[in-house]
Amino acid sequence: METPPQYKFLIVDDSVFARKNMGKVVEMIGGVVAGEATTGREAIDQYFKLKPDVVVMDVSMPEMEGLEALSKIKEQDKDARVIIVSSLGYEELVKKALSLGAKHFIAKPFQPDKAAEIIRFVLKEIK
Amino acid sequence: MEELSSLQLSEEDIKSLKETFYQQAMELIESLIQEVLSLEEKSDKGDSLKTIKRIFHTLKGDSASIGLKELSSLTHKAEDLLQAVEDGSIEVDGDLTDLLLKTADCINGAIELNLTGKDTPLVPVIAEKIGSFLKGRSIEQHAACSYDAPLVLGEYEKLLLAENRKQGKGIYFVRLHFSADCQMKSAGAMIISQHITGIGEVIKASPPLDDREIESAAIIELIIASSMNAEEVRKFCSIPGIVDEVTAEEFQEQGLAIAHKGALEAKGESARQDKLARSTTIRVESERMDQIMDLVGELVIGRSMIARLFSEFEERFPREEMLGRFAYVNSFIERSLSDLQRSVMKLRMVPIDRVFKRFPRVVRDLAKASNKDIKLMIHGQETEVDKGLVDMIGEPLIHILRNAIDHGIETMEEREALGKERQGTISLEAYHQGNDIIIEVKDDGRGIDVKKIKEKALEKGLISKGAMEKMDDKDAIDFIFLPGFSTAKVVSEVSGRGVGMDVVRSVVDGLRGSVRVKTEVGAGTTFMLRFPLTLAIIKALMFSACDRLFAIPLASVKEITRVFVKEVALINGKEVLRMREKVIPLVRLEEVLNLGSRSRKMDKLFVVIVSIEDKDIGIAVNKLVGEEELVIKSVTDQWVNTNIVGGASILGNGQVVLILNPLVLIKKAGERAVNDELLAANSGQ
Repeated sequence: METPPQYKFLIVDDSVFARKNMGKVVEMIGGVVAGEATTGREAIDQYFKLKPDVVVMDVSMPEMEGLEALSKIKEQDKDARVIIVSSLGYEELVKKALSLGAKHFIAKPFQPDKAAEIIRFVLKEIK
Repeated sequence: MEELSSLQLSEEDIKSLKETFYQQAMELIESLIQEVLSLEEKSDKGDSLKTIKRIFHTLKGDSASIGLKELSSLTHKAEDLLQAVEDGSIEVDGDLTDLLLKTADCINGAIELNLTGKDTPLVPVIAEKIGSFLKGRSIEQHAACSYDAPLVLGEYEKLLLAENRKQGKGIYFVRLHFSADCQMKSAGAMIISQHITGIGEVIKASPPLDDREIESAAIIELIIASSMNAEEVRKFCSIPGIVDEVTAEEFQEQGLAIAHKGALEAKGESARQDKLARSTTIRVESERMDQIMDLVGELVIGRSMIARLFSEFEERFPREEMLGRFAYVNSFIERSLSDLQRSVMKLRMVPIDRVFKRFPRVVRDLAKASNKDIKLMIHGQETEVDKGLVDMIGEPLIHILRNAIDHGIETMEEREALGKERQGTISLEAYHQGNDIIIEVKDDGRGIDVKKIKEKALEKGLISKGAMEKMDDKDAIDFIFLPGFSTAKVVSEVSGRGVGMDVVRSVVDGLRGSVRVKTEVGAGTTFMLRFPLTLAIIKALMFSACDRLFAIPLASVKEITRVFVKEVALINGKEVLRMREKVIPLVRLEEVLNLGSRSRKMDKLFVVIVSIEDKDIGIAVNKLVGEEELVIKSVTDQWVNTNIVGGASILGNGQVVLILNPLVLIKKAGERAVNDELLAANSGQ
């Protein structure tokens, strides 16, 4: 990838490790983590405050508002780019998220380079 | 596949697609039922199972395309069920066929209801049933089956394809290899689908992108319409994390069809496919056909106008040189027109199988309900009959079948005691005889006890005791066609309160047909229905009576005779004729049609003897006009409020001819010249 403009990311996950891990991936592709959130509610707040280019969000959070957050975000900003992260076995959830307008999904556990590829793929849409 | 609503289709297109879907679905359900029923009989069930599965598969895809999600998921479940049967983890037995039949009914109902915009609550119920059937009966899960449905385009997809081609879009055959690390293939498929929607349209996918089979697929084959070129499409379809390898090439229908034909033949399914191909015909609304038929009728009239003009011309200018050329052109038109007429008539002809194929199911269900074992044999289902007949004949036939099952065939125990086979047999047969089509329903049951019928008729005051004793069995059986006449001692659930046979009669009358019953106590009953081959054009004998022109179907005319007025005898004030061994009623049209007496006094008169099912009447006529092929138009005129006139036709000279219904005339004559006296006279021979 040629050096792209610095894209802003919002990472939503209840696990610190997961957020860190994903943060690394974001840096790998030259993005910047503009903010983090641990719940769906936080995610919504952060999204409208930070206006990130991409949201990377775990939908299988315990406080299950991932989907709700996603639909709220899409409701108010239909161009929002949300990438879903999910553990295996939550396929229905992922499909639901996709039907709500998520752009892509990353299955946990993921290899960073593969995840990076997916994020790049989503970023390609931004012209 | 996208829902219709999201396509760039006009409402009319959507409507016509829905119509197509509906018609195809109905046909599929019919063959589904047939195959399920044949499962119970055949020893080698492999082919039927395959066909059933394929039908469910098609229904699944189509209903998804049309937006009937619930139905699509129901058919999907049914497909799973069939897979389990094919794998041998579920056995074919009565429970399975019951469930499959229920599923067929449910799909049928759901589709019909959906057309009226309603949802059916039954769909999830049946889906649930299939689910629990699978769970309860399946020995092993069939998770690891690979998907091998060929990428064959259905009607709907072909339409989409054509639509896209029209818009100048490229059609591509795309093969996607799932990445090894794609763990959620069905979610992946969703992304593929969403992604492609951004550049075009998925016309067909194998396995379907919303299909559970996706999980076990390594490759997805797609047909995509897009304004991009093949290379762009290929690049676009490389989706990291989901798709590793992509090939995209211009789609050629021919190549695919041939490739898959080979594949199908290898699977031994070519026969089925051929069958499908053969049934791929043009569907035309019957209204349009009727319109053409009407127009042909008009043309026939127009031609006979020309013929009349021509003969007038010939009379006036017998030396005219152009006469020969006129004659040539006239006969040319006549020939072409009669060819046209025949061709159009053929258009109206459909195999009677359309009605017959419903019956195995009907008989099976009714037999089950009345706890009898009955085999239905069908012959001559390929016999071609008028579409109008096919539309109308179903109901009366069902009434007859119901009666045969309910009252005709004995219980298994009774049959055994009588030394008959435990299994009763009903045979249904159609065949041509001259200008008629005959439909026979025959059972090997207990037959109709004519004595009981006579008693009942007496009890109901339909006949006098004296007449009853002389009445022959053939006439007595006809009582069953009277409304409310039933000899069934126990009113059963199956044939209700004996209503039905009067329906049979009235429908048959309406179709200008006749029905005859042959019965033998202990051996069975045969209903023989006879109809004219075509309902639109008849060969008729024309005659005038009381200064009006009438016609009567030639098929019913037995003979024409001239009698002296003094030969007409009076019995109880009614005129009768002595014809050889028989006394037959003489009908004067001015009387039955209440036209007022206008016939001139003559000492000799023409009598047309009309005969149906061995019952004769004579119609007094003034003058015979001739035979002609008449295009029947229905009569809605207020003054023709009698069913004696079955229709009308317009002749070349613009004259209107009324077509008489011989059956009604015979009945009327019977009423007038009360049976008693006639019978007395006849037996006095």
